[in-house]
Amino acid sequence: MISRYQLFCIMLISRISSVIVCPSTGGFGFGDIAAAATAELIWLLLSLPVLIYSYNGSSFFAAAKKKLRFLGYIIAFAAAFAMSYIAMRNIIFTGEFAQRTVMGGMSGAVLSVLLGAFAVYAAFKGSEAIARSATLFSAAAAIVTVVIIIADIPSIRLRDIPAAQFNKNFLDDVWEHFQRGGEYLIFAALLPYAKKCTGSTALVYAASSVIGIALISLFGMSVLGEFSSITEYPFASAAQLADIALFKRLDGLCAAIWSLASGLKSAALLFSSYAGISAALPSKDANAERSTA
Amino acid sequence: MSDQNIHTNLPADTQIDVSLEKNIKNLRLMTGNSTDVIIKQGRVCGNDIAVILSEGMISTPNLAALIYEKLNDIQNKGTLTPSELVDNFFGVYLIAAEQLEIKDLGDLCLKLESGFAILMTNGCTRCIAIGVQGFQSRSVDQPSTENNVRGSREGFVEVIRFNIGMIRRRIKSPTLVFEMSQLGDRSKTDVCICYISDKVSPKVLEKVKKQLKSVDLSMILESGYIQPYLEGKGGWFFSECGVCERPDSFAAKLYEGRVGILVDGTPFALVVPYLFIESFQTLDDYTQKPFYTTFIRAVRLCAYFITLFLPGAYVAIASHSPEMLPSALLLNLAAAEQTAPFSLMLECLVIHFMYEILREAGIRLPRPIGHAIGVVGGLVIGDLTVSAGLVGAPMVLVVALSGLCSFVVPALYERTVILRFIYIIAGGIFGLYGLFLAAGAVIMKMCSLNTYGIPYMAPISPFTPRASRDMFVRAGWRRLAKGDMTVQELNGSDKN
Repeated sequence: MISRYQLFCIMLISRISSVIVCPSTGGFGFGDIAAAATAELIWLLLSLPVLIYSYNGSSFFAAAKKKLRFLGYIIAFAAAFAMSYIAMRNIIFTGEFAQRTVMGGMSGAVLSVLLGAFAVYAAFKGSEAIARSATLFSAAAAIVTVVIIIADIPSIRLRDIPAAQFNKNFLDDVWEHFQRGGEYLIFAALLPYAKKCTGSTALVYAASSVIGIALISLFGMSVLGEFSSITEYPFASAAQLADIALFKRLDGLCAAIWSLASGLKSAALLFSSYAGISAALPSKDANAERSTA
Repeated sequence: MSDQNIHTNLPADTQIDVSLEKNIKNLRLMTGNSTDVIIKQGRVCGNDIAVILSEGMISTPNLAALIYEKLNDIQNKGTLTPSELVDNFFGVYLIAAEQLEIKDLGDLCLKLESGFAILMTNGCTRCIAIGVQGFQSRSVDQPSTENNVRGSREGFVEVIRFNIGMIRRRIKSPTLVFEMSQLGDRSKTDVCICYISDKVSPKVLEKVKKQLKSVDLSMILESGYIQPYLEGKGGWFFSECGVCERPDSFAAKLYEGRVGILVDGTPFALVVPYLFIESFQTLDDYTQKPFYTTFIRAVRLCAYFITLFLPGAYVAIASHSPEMLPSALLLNLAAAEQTAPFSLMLECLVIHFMYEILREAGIRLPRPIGHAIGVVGGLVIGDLTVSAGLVGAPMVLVVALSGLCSFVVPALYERTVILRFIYIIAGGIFGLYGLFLAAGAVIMKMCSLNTYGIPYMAPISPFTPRASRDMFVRAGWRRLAKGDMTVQELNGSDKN
């Protein structure tokens, strides 16, 4: 079984990794933070039925199929399709991110294939393996991020944080941030595998993710200043300036650990799409795995 | 595989005949008239009897004191029927601690080969197996693989009965249970399951028994033969079955609710379930001061990370992300590698491979020569390869450090060596990205292991707060004594 803390870790690391590995669409400053918060709010509103239902601790997709019949199937398949789409998009973006930041001499497609293989392997390992490794990856990512922030302290200029301004393509930014989400779908699919997991986990995640995204954006802005608007990957660019102990810059380390986190997100999405479909279409294997879990 | 006898087609379940002569003839046929089977015939209370034993498996003084002396004592006490005589042996005469009844030839051969003396009477279809075992064995000695600064100097030996005694001496509780059975169609090796009945999980115990029943080997000469049967699906690489050579460690593990398996003929006992974190814990940790134990555990953990990741990370950073290194260090590395004809990855693989050859040679050779190999390999070959410009000096340093650190956590040595090669290749081809993905896949594999209902990565993930007092940090005994914890509590079923 998955604990609620593990589920929280899966969701948070997934969301933060997508902020770091996906290229900026041009929005910056507080406008970008507002776009991210708006996207998160839309996801939250759309997920309200899931959250309300989660207080019973049952499978959302199975219940949807039971109560809504044909519409339930549609919901499960649509969710699975959305999760697969987000997973594929995430894998492609992460390959590009790795190619731009750490593996300049290698094709982004090759790196994406490598990450995809990892995600499929992790998805095959099941919900418990994903959940347990999520806590370890979260700890590793948190340590690396804190080290980068500490190493970047000399470069931080709070006065350089650009004044709050909305990008003229605010809706595009919201749409981009919306596509980076999908954590609530993971939450809905993993509910039957989780114990004592209520909607409060998702609500805590919602608050934490917005705070996390805001902090990362603020950190990027404070280190890069006006240059944050012309960088594709503000956090990785800020990590380039991190000079600590033996290392002159930490962008390679940052790219590696957050790519891994992104791989975990893709794995969670792939497993969730399988879990969602199998909940809607009960099969012997799915039932056996659920009873084992 | 069935235990077919090439000397005769007599089945193993052939019943003991009333005729002593026929029984002896059948026995000779069954054992191929083997020279170590000694049959001494005599007459007691008017009955023909035979004492049968296997040379080298019995204690001659015990045989003389427990059997021959008794038989000579009772031989003039009138005449008894064969059945009365056998009944007296069981019910009246106190001969030895172990007196077992035998009804067929297969059982007779098994007892004979296990060091029992067999007393056979003419006119009776029952035999008596008397425990007078006394074969030559190594005396109790220091364990070879688990050295400690403080604590007992006793290690397990090859004789299973001695090992049982050493454990019983440490846990004088009626809840300590030993269940003996035999495995191996031909070797009939004694295997003993040990557990503390009020600590062990019935599910784990049941699973262990089931797994042992599935062992279909003919010969079991070491606990390593049955170890794969106790490991889960991930056992091909990460083992959920630990090996223990110390009776004190073994007893401590039983107290934590684990199941131990002793195998006759080897000083290495098996313990299940085995967790990843146990590789970093030793018995010394509990005899030293908590602050020092905490420090030493941190050292072990660092050493493990160095041995596992340093070569791969060095290759990845130097080959793909040299900009991460300070200019001065980068220039030094570049100067050192200037004359080397191979790529960093190939260099690292070759040097590691050479290191493993030297290590293997050092282990297999007699100890004095083994030391010489270490000196020749470490100093002469290392120095010459650098002087000849075949490899850079930093690479030799990285490999040496990595090799040294690998001995800090010996329980994980085999996995570490293979993973190190994998990480070097991943880091060499795909840089830090590949290295992290490879490490991630390995962590994923480790996190998926859960054969006995207790995750292999517990109590790290799933995290068990109560277990953190003896995880990386070791609390003092007063705090540890507040509420014992069994391994079953690490299954992630609490509030974490």
